[in-house]
Amino acid sequence: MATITLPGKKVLSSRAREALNGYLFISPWALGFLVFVIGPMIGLIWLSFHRWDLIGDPRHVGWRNFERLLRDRLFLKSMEVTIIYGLGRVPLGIIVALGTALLLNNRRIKFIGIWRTIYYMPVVLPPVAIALVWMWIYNPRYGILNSTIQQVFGVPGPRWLDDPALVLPSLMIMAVWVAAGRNMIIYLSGLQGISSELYEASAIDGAGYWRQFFRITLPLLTPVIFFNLITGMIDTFKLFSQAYIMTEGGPRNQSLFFTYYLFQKGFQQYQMGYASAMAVVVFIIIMALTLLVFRWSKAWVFYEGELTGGN
Amino acid sequence: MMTSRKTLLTAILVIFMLTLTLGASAQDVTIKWFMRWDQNRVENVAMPVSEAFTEATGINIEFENIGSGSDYYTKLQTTVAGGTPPDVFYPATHVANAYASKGALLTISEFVERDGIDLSVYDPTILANYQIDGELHCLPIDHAALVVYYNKEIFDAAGVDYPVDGWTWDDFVETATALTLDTDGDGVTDQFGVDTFRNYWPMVVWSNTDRGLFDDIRHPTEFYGMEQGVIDSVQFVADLILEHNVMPSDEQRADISDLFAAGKSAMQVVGHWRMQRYLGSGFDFDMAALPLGESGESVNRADGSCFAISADTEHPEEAWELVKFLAGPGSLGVNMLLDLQVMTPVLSEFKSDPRFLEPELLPGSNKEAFLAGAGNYFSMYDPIHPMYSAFDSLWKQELGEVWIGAASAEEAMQRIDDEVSYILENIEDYE
Repeated sequence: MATITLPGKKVLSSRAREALNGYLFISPWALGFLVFVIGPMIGLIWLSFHRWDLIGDPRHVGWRNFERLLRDRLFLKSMEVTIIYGLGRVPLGIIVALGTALLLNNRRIKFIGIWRTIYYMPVVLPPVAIALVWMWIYNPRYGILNSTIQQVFGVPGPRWLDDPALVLPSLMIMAVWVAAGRNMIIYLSGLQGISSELYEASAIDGAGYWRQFFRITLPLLTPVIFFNLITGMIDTFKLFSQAYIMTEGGPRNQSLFFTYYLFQKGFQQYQMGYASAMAVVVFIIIMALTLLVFRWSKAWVFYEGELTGGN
Repeated sequence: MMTSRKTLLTAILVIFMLTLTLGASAQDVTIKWFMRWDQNRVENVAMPVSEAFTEATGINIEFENIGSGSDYYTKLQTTVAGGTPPDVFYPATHVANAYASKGALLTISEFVERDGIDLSVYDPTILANYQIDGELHCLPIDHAALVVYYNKEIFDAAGVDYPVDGWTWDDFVETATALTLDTDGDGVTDQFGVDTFRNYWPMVVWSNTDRGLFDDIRHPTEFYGMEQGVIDSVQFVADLILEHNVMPSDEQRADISDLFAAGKSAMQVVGHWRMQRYLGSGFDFDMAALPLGESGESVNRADGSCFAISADTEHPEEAWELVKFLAGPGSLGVNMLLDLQVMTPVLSEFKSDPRFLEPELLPGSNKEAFLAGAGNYFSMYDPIHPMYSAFDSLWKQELGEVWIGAASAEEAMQRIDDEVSYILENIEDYE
């Protein structure tokens, strides 16, 4: 008690005071996280053991929702669709964005600022607008894609979004186009973080462009590639607007993405408990996949800081 | 000076508070009325009805409207789940039933009895759609009866006879074929016999089998999808597109919202709600009753919309007054809607009203076509059960293949049947 009354005497040590300040500064975010993320997540887990139609009171059903999931043909279909899509879209996205970044990192290209802006543009467009534009591009009869095919090859183009075999590749291409700009910026910053000394030194030693690319550029970009791999995986499981606006899961459920099926169950068929159980299962899957990829990353991701001692 | 200023301030505050308390007295009830009407009905019916209601009863109305059906239901669901539902709203038949079965609608049977409302003036088949275990849950206003609209000018130009009562689906195909034209000879159809009505395929099933798609519309246990009459009906609709080429595919329609209104199809199978649009199209048209199918019975749609009261309302009496004002016998609401030519009324007094049958806007027209099929009414949303939503997305996926010729009706119905059997076995998961 005496310490408080003494003027000028500090109640808290400077270290504790700094910690307190730190907690105060993060408190808005931390509170938001607790209330709007952790809270609903706990609610979600609780709901996954109940049957709830949003109107009446939730009824406890034990593991029933999870048992149903295993036998739900459409749930399994939605997992299949999402995983196939991810296996195509994630690697393709990495290659395209990296290629674009390499091109736009070349200082000899004129109007480089304009090019970068153009490639970045899809990132600032609303997803719904993008979906509508691509629906017109893919329109079998009036779309620019098929009229080009008709003119160049003289044969009618395929039905793209209406073709069960082509709907996923079509959506992949669109997603790669959308994400290329954002990922390109990340690669560009990675590329510009690579010291030019390394290139100069290797050039003196006689290394050509491709040798430099595989021995210097690619290894030093692995942390960025790793980041894009993880975010790409998570984006895949979150994909919704394309399925909702462009295909409604069709044709024949070939684009029944996981999130869209969850939406159907929860908000169209009013089976909130079941939808919650789906979310729990996929949360576990994403966690497991992310952990696996993190483990695996030790084998191929190269952090420059670790080598130089991180001073 | 200081004291007098203070006194003045206090006086103002007291007066202000008194006004507030008086304003919130029992006289001043506000009813939240939530609708999904188009601008036409909002301006010409909802607004004047609101004013007339407040004038007659002293009850205020807070009106809200969301024009898009799906957005409307999302918001309704959210407010009901959140415990802040509107007092009076406007669900379609299957939604009204879903809400009623979960106890979200106020039953109005007691009010009906107390106020001596004669329910026999409502079509019994249609009214039954809103009754569960003998309790009435809302007052229906319209039903979505379908007719065949036809463009007289196109018929005249092709020298084809107008449809007559009692025509069959065979006559329909013949008529549509004669009116499907490639006017400029480039191999692409420029005028179709009929605009697409493939989503009304259950209506063709009713006309061929005189039954719905399930054994019991409220408690389905058996699906009739694999019966020949159903398969043939679906294939018939697909063949209009694929074989007879009288109905456009999605590609051929090219996102035109209504080919008939655009003058690019001779016929259109749709309900009363498109009338205003066609009146504005500038061509001469009329209506014919739906063609007859194998069953020989004239059929039509029973489902429509009703005015319902939330079970959580704080003002059940006032909400009921509004519902009566909107949809009760002789009500102002129905009267105004009738003048507007936007619906087929459920009340028999309005069905025979000259304003409905012989509107000034359409002299000599065959409005009776909307009344065809009485006694054989079916719901387009079949079954009226919470599992309908799952069934709806199921058939849209599978029949989507039939409409483009990638699957036969039989193959698609087999897949639908497999899935529906599974749903019916686990029906309690949907309740």
